[in-house]
Amino acid sequence: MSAFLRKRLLEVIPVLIGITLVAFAIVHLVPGDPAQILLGPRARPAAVADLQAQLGLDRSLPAQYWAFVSGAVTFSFGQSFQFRQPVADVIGPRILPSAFLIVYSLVVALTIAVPLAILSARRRDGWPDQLVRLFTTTTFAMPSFWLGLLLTLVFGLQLGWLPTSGYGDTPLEHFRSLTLPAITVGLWIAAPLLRSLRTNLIDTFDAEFTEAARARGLGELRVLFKHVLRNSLISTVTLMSLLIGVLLSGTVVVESVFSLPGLGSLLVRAVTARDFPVVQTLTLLFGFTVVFVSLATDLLYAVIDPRVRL
Amino acid sequence: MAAAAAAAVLAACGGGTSAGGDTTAASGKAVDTAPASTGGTLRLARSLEPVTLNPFTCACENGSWQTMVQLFDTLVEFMPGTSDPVPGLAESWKVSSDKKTFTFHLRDASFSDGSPVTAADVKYALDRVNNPKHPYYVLYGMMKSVTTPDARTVVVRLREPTIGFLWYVGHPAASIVPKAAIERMGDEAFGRRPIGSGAFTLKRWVKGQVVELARNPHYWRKGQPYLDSVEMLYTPNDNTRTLDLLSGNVDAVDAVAFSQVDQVDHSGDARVLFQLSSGMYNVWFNERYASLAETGVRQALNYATPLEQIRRVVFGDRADVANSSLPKLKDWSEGVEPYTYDLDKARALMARSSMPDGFDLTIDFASGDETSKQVAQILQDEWSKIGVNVKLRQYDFGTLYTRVGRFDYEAFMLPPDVYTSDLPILDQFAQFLFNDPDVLHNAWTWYDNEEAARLTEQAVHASDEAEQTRLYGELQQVTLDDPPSVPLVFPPFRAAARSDVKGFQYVQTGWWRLEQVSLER
Repeated sequence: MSAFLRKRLLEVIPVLIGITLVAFAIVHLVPGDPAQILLGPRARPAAVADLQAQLGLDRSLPAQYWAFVSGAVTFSFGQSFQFRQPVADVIGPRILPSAFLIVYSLVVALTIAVPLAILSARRRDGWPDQLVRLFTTTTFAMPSFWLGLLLTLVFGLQLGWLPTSGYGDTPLEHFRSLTLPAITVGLWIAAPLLRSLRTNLIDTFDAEFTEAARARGLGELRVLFKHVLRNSLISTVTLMSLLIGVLLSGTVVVESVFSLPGLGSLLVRAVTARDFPVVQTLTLLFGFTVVFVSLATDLLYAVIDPRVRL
Repeated sequence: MAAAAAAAVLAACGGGTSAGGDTTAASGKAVDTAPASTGGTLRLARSLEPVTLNPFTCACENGSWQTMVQLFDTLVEFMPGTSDPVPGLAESWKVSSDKKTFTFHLRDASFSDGSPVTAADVKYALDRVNNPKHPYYVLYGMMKSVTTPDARTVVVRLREPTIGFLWYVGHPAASIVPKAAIERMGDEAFGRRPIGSGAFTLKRWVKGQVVELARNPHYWRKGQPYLDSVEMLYTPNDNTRTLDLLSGNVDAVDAVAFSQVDQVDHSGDARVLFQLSSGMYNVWFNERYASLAETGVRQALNYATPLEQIRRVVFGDRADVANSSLPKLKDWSEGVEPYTYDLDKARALMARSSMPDGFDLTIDFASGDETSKQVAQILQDEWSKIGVNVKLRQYDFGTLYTRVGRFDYEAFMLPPDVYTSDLPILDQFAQFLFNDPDVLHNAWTWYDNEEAARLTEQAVHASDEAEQTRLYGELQQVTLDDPPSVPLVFPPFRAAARSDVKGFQYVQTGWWRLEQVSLER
């Protein structure tokens, strides 16, 4: 393995440790006692104390942290306070809907961003460019829950084309149910992607090698796909890997609005109920995902750009 | 005696006494005389989710009760629109004249696994709730002994005369389960695959998503349930539930936000059903906060509250002004006058108090609770006129509950659907609010009124119903004269259903009897 890769992998380790510390600390610093919340406000203190002991909350903070980390290393994340099930069993079935939503959102975002960026770059400062700029500013400024509800109102209620909430039972139903949520998140992500790609395309359109390619008599489409796009992708891929964190947090709101059984809506419930094991594990999972997407992006550069040697 | 049983049977026919007077015509009290069509699946989007389906690992919240009522039965049951119990698994009962011995005669019924419901199963359930660690021990701890002279008879002896016991056994915490099955399976497994004698069985439960119920072919109410199955979808977002209902994605929803009632009613596809809840909607005071310790100050705040305006602006005339720090349940007294809006009286009371120039007051409430935000802003405006400067603070539920539980607040408000009594009688909340000084300090208010405590004790153990009604009336007056809170309105539950759904209505305590629902398609 190359030195570069080895170095990157070693760097990941302290980051992961830092993530476990943050995941643990954040949820414990927030006021609110899980046992009290689970039993409800009318519970007797004796019952609350009992439950606290049961959940292991009477141990010292370092002891609880150690239990969490040592368990996580062996993929044993403890028991969910609210569901009384192993955390892995609670999180497991929700990974697929969230992953489906994220991929679908990215596809929607790219489908919107790439053609519009090309159009904008080609007719730079023309009316198509201005229109696209207006469009992206508007959709980026809209709060996602508001946009989601608006889309549901129009396409779900008034036109009746798509379901208003839920996830469905068959893959086809999943696809239909996730369309409005994916458009909600996709429209939001498309804006920065579009802007970045447009800028890169303009630079590349103006570059000498593009002129050279045209001079050699290559058709416009071939120039576009083989030369221009490939060279413009690097910054955009970087941006996408940075946006993965934003995407994950975007799903939290969207899943709650559309009642999707994914990781985002689970995180909301777990935080509300102070379900420490679930919140900690989800934070860990999200953190790891961002770290590894970042690593994968570095590897992707080698594929896109022959100048990069691993 | 036999008279009690006869009265109960009459109540079942929809003619029982009711303190649950509704404010609109759509009360659910009228019984559909046309025969209901059978079949179909009811899709219900609701704001809550069950935590457990085992009555004895009490999570003690409505999400679980709402589901358990469909799966299990209790000795007596409550129907929408009335507060008196009707026969459940007990087809008749006798109450001794000293109100200490209750004899229940069980009907011929079986659990969904085919085994018969016997007195041994009832004894098992009652013995389990008679546990000092149980949150409802204040009710069930009254039981001294439960005996089963034969397989169809259960005799319960109480420590003290308690008329309300007949109501206590109607709560899903005392659901009857098959003793053999639960002992064999254990609590955890039973909570995931419960067996009961109720109208439905559990077909599928995906936590955080859906609870699917199927008709119980062994159900003892012949002809019911009308539905083949029910899908209860967990949809916590208010707007999403309404959109689901209007688009036809679901057939019924619970907890319609007040601001969306008109939208649903004017849609033409669905209508909102109101039912007086067993809840309170008040501003609660912490009397450990020095400024609120004096009765005169708390009275002043009541006089400075424009109840009519709040009722009209916030609830759109759909709730009645509250004349009590207790919910409007059986034995509610019409004769107690609510506070009038009288700034002069308020100022006079403040002038006579130890703080004539007023004081600062912080009201805590839950984030997302738009109703309380609206009300609190009105109060901020009004109470400033008597020198009380109100600051508003919003917390998420968990933090709010923790702060209140630690008495770390000055005044708090809960959303209108949350502070509900589990029984349609006053016993539970009267005890909790006025006669529980040691551990929870009278519902965290540190209210100290010996007469209220004495009246509560006497009322719960009254020797006959007339005396109980009289004592509760006095209690209502006493606790309004020396108020632990500012009572605002008696909040209604709001359910909504599409036009082809019949029989869907809230019971006063916050759940539904889905065996009465039919789909007219």
